Amino acid sequence: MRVILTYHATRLQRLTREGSDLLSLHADLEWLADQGIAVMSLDELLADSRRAGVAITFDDGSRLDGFPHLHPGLGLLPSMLQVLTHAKRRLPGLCVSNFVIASPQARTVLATHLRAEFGASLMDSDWWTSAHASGLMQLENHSWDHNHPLLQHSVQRDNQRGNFLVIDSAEDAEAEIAVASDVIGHATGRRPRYFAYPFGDVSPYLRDVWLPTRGAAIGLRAAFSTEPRAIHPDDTAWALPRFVCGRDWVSDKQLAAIIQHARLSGV
Amino acid sequence: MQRPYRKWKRQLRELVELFLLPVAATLLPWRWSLRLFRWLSRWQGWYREEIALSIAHVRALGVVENIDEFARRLRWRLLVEHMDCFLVPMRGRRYLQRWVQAHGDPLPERGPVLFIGTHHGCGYWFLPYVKSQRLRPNIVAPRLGPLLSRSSLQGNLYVRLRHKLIAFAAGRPLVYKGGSAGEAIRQMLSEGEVCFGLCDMPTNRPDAVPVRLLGLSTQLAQNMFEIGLQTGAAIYLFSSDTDLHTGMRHVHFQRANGGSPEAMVRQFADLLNVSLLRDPAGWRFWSIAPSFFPLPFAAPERPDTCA
Repeated sequence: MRVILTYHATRLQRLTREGSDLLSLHADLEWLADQGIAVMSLDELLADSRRAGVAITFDDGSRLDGFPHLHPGLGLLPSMLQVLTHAKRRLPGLCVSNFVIASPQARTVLATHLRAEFGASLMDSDWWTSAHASGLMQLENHSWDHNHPLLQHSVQRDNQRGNFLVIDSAEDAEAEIAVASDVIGHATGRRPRYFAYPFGDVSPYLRDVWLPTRGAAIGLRAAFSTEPRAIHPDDTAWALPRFVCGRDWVSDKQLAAIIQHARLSGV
Repeated sequence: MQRPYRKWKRQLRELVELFLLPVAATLLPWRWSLRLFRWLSRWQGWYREEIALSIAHVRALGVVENIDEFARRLRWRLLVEHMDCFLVPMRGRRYLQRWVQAHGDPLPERGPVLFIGTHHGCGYWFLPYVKSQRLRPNIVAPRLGPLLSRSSLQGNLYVRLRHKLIAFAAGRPLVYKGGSAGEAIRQMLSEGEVCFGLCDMPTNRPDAVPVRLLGLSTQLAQNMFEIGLQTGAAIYLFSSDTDLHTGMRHVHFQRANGGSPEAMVRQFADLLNVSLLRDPAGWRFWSIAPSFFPLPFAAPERPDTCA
């Protein structure tokens, strides 16, 4: 049974478990520890297909992941890193992969649009080095600019934005993925080993052509979609599935059902 | 038996901790007093008994990694909190606008409203804020009885003075009850009043709701929420805290929903968990942690004090 759970720190509707990934992460890690389920890094989980356990990933890499934050609507909040620090005492193998957006310009545009909801500096990268140094979080590749619809210009050759399926040429893939790995590696001193498709959009070209041929050369070992299921031994390394908090579960009962289903299906 | 000089030394320390330093600090601009307290928090003598107990308990529970940093922040927070007791009634609307920031759900214009808060952070600023919104909360307090008269003269005077200052900040006298506070709150809510209570209290009620605080299993009473629902009051959970870097005081309001008292208790625990995760040193009850978390301690029998 190999399961990957994904969280977005920016899912912050209310300060309840159902309304925020922050409190969900806290409750889920306690639940996993209670159940004696091994929580491990992606490196460990993917090293051996016979290994059983859960890996945690974060998407989008906001400042809420690394630093306590003043949220305009919810007040003073802890960081996701503080939740991990607390959980580490019961889960010694805990190490999260955080998929961050590399482009400073793209992050500035996104932060500006989300300013009213999250306050200034949401997408700053000033937390990257301390989060990496904590040993609890490794920064991975979530593309150069997420090909986000809020951007005026993306690196996609025809400036088509809003999904990642349009990244279907070597030129676009180099700009979105290879350059992002360079920038993140330079900032943290460790090249990303994993890539998460923005929006969970698995471009067939990237999965079947570009990543299998070019991925290893830029340091990548696997890529992740948001298809909600456990990892199967026959899965291609370039589109591994992940469950997403809020979409696929919001309670202990629903998380238990995911784990139970993965165990029963024998994957 | 304590030697006289030790007793005097302790009494002198209490005099400084409870009265002299907090009152003197109110005379300084807030930024200066915050910095002064930060500097003073390096000295390990402040609030020695409470700090020693708190450290022993968090160490036994394993909830804090850096115990020295925890102790320093706890001293810093206690210094601020004791000053706030005097500062709150001495500052007006302008100070409130400058230093107190409220977040979350909008408050109703009139009662019945039941505010339920935590012992995390400094809750004093909640009182002038809701007063500024024309909601003057009734605070039900236990009668000052024989237990208090056994404390030191300074402690006795401090509690009596603090009750007066809280009443001044709330804009109405405290309601002293010898028996059930719950009945007094029910009566006031039925009359359309605004009430206030703190619900992270040790309880041995049989209907208490199991929750987790920082991952530790405990239980919290649901009777306040029951009373709120039965009287049709709007129930607002709130947390309040001081940002020790900027000096801003933050009050967050969240309307309780979910229908049942149990669901509301869990929402309350979620709110408290957010505060505890951000800064465990902000919680006043580490010194009585065995009353909440039975293992690895033997929890003493305590009467239910919620509501």
